[in-house]
Amino acid sequence: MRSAMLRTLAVGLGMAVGTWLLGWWAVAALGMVAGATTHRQRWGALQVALAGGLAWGALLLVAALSGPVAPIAHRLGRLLGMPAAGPLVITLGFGVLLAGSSAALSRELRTRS
Amino acid sequence: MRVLRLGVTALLLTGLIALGSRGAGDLPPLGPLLDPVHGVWATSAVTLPPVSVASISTLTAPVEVRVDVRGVPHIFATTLADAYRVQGYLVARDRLFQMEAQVRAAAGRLSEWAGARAVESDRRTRAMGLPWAAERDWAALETGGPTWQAVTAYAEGVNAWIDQLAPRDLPFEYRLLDARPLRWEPRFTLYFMAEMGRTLASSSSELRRPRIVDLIGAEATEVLFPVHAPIQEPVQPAPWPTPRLALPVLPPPSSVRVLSAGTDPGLPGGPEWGDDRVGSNNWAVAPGRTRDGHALLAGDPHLQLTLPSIWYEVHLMVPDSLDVAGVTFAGAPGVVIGFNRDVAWTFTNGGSDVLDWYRERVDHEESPTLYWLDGAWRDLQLEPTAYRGPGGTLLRIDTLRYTHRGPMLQVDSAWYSLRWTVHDPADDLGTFLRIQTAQTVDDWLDAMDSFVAPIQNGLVADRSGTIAIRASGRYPIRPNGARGDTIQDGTSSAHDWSGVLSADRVPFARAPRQGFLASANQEPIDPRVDSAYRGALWPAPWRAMRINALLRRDSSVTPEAMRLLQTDPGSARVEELLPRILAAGEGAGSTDSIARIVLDRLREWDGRYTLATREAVLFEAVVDEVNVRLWDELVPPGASAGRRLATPDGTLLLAALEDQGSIWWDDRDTPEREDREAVVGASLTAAWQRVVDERGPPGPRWEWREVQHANLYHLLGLPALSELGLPVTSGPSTIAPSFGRGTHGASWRMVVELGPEIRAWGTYPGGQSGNPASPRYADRVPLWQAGKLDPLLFPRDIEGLAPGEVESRLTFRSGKGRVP
Repeated sequence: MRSAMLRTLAVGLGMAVGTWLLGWWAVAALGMVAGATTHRQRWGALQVALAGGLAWGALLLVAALSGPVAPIAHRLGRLLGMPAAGPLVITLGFGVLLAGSSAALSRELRTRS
Repeated sequence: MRVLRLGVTALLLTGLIALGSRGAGDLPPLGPLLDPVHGVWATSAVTLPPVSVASISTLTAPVEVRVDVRGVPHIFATTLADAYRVQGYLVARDRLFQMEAQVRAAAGRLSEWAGARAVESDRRTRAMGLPWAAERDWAALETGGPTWQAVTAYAEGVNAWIDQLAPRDLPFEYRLLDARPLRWEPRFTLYFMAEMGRTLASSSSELRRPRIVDLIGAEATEVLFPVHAPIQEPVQPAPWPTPRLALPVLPPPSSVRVLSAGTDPGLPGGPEWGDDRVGSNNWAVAPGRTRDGHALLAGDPHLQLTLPSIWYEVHLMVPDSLDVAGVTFAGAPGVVIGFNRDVAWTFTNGGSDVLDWYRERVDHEESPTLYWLDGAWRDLQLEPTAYRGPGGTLLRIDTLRYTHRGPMLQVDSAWYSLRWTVHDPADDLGTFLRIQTAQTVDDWLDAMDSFVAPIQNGLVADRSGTIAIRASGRYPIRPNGARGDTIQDGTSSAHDWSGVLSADRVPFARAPRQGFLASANQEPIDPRVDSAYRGALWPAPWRAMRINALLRRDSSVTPEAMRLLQTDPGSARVEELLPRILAAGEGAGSTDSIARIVLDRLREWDGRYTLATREAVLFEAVVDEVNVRLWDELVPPGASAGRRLATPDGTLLLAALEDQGSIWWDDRDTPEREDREAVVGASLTAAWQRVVDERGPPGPRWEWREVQHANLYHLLGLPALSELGLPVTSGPSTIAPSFGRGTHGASWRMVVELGPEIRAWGTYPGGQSGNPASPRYADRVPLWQAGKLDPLLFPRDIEGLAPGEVESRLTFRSGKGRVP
């Protein structure tokens, strides 16, 4: 359990750094790697998905400390016809899905091979 | 099962990556948009640091900037070029997306952002010759001359900002469009000037007028859509008391209606007859009529209301060269409307006719290469032009065509060339830069001598107490006394413009005996003084009448009174029309209880468009219903009721109301002969019914605040980035006219007192920042909406700003790279 948490945090940290240095697609690339290396873990893909969410959540927190996340969420929410929380949820969801689906795919490929 | 899982995960990931990298439909690529480090969430911190240092490699000496508590930069430089460099940098920092959007609109390059959906708009822009005009201006500019230096220095500042742009500084809109900023070229400023020409001087009645003649005959057209306004309250004060009413007797419409179909010919730059138009105002009062004995000047230019605002406020200080404050366009160096230590100035649009259409005979209907002139075929100048989409994909190729007059474009299968002063190579930006340093009214007028287009009613006042106004610009002379409101025959050069009106024929007044001057886009000179053709689309002079009436009444004007005038809810239109409508309604002797209720309510109305009034909505409905019945002859056969080809303005309604038996009152669809009383009586009832249908029984929903709103749309038209539905104390033809969709209005309000020390107040709808997440994005809107003004700080030096007045200190140094 503890090792799973640590693994999730480590992957999340990697994804945060990857996003910082390389951009959004680093989440998918690292998700593939993490999925392949954890293919024997039962909840491996979910852990990677969670790591993606944690990574982007942490980065959003950093953005909120130095920038105007709340007014942007408000404007984007109006743009998309949803409450201000909506764009934040979509952002986190995008990170989660990207990490999770890439991990799941590499798991499947690894298992087949 | 495993294959299925593999397929589903592969599909999901592929979909996410496609959505992330390419987007879908109108959705931009989500990856770079949602990326918490580089995407929209990372939009720059919105508050300026208290102290910072920046660099521009071409600066010749350090420049100090103090941003005051209203977000206005005060730029203290040692050379003009450095001042413009820093101005470019700061405006780019605050308004980069707007600057590029404006240039793209003028260059016909919006499709590079928006794809195929913008191609038609780009085609119109290029066909009208806007980029052509800007390039001609640029080519005519003296290399190394003052204007060249100013736009070049400004561009260096803009590009210094772009070069140092951190990902977090990329404006919000670029993220939505998945675009990167275009490198700023000095000529871009001239593109913006051409775009202003289109905004202010492209109205034209030539193409629509023949259709109206087909419908009601030449004689009636001449009276209903006159060259000279039926009520004269000119910009150049007349030598007799005004307003001078010259209401015509309306001749009957032609019995033969040639026009048979179509109410909207789809013409470019349609005419704008009627009362309810964009309306700029300015007025100045000489010391003899002000409480404190100093000249006062009010500027109130009206334009499309956008977020960010078209204006950017700035103070530029260069010892012994320049000390000017006010507003400029985002993209232009210097100050366009404002004041220095001695002089204050402002503009309204002159509205003169500076665009003529020539019908051309060409060798081929679809793809002409030759046009007929003076008995011979002449080569058209052909210019291939490509429209590209995002990423440079080719969307379309066109050929632009030019005759010796200007661009040639096709309308309803016919070819027309344009002769337009906006196309004339000119250095109007140079004029704006020169007027900034005027020390007297006469200096200022001299500097304005070179101004070309669009015609501007430039109002100026100085500290000695002199006030003056002149409708500056180039007025074309048509040969043989021809007017510009009819289509000219392009096959003969004898129809070409033969010159420009001499300076002594330009409407002008200096230190008038009446002690005040005002303009509100009205006809600039009474035709009894000078009947030369200057235009044909003058708005009814209701605003000018109201301003002048209030100024005549007050011989001790204060800055506060000037401010209050800017949002005065009274209306000369109501003062003239309402008593006549009431009289006609009474004359109808109607026993209809609803008509009586309407009459009673309107009789009790004070005629002011205040937020709480419930009668204004009723009055407007009555006028509209009267117009529907009165001007039914202007509805083409087969078109639905109310779909008029054009509507005569309120002064013609006034003329009709003066004539009980005019044939125009008759409803052509009934066998009876209706008169004024019958039509007004029926209109009262119909108006009530309409308002009840739309708003329910009389109640809060009838209040003007529920009816008319100002709408400040973001440049991309996105409601989420706009300020919409703002109730305003104004109505059609009030000094601050508000009408229709409420998308036009006062773009900058300013009052200046020219005492020993200049004092000024002002505001505009919006805020200094174009960043929608910034607290300065729309912070001025509540003040503007309330009709209030902020005091404008105008320090003589850096120390002139108290610590509490400064929000941020910025030092610019020569060098490369941003200094943290």
